[in-house]
Amino acid sequence: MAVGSVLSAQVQQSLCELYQKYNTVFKPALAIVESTVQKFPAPVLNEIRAVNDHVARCFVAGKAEADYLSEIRKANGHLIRVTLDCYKIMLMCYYDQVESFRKAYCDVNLSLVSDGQFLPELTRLNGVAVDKAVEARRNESDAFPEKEQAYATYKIAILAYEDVLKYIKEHAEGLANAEQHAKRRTREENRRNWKFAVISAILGTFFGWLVSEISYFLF
Amino acid sequence: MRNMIADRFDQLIERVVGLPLEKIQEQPAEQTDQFIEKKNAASLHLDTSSRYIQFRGNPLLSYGRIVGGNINEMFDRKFGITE
Repeated sequence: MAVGSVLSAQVQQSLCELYQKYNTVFKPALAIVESTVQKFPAPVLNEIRAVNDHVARCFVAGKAEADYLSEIRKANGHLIRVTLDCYKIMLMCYYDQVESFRKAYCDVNLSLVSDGQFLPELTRLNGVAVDKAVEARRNESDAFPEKEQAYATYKIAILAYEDVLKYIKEHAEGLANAEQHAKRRTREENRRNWKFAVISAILGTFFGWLVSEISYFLF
Repeated sequence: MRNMIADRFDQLIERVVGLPLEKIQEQPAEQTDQFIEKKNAASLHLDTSSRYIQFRGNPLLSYGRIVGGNINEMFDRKFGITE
């Protein structure tokens, strides 16, 4: 007799619930990570292997029903962890994107964008997103062992970061103008510095000559 | 409130991945992966030619790379979370 056919109705129901979560919650979370960060990150692969391993143990014959249910509970724990990992990867990626933006624009006066309203609003939105991410992590620790309850707070943090990026994208034109202004100002400063250097050199030479002439007449 | 967040999150997934949620949930993950690869290659091409995305550090492109290690530690370090 095949092992699968001797699994009790309760074990089969638990397996069914596990794979429903895999399809409806985990697969979309992985798809968004693969779209924006990278293809199947190694830590995700490790957790999925653990899920599969616990499920595979349900097909080893001769165990008590409680053992099979325990394996499924463990598999479910790994599935929750890997889903949370996907949300965390998304948040870390958003964090890096905002940091990259700040670094890229460190020499541009962002107070020129949207009549000075861009920078304070960006700072506010980013502050909210960071706070939500921290809150989600703390919520996850508090929710232990029912970590599934933290899904909602991670989603709120991801949506808050989406607002930050949307805000940056909406101001693309203003940012491009501010960047042009910064380039123009740098060019003007370079030109001014060059003129100053030339004039200083001429005056230096002239005064040097003048001093030598005066000392020739005096002494 | 909870439903509104779930709906917005589902919409975000659909927009970012470029597929309806039901399709992501039901079709083989490999098919979704192939779709994402094709879409990302196309958007990379578009992004470099679009004159409206002429700002530095185009946030439409991916930055992060999670090579390995403990995600929780990485997350806590990045967001300055201490026990």
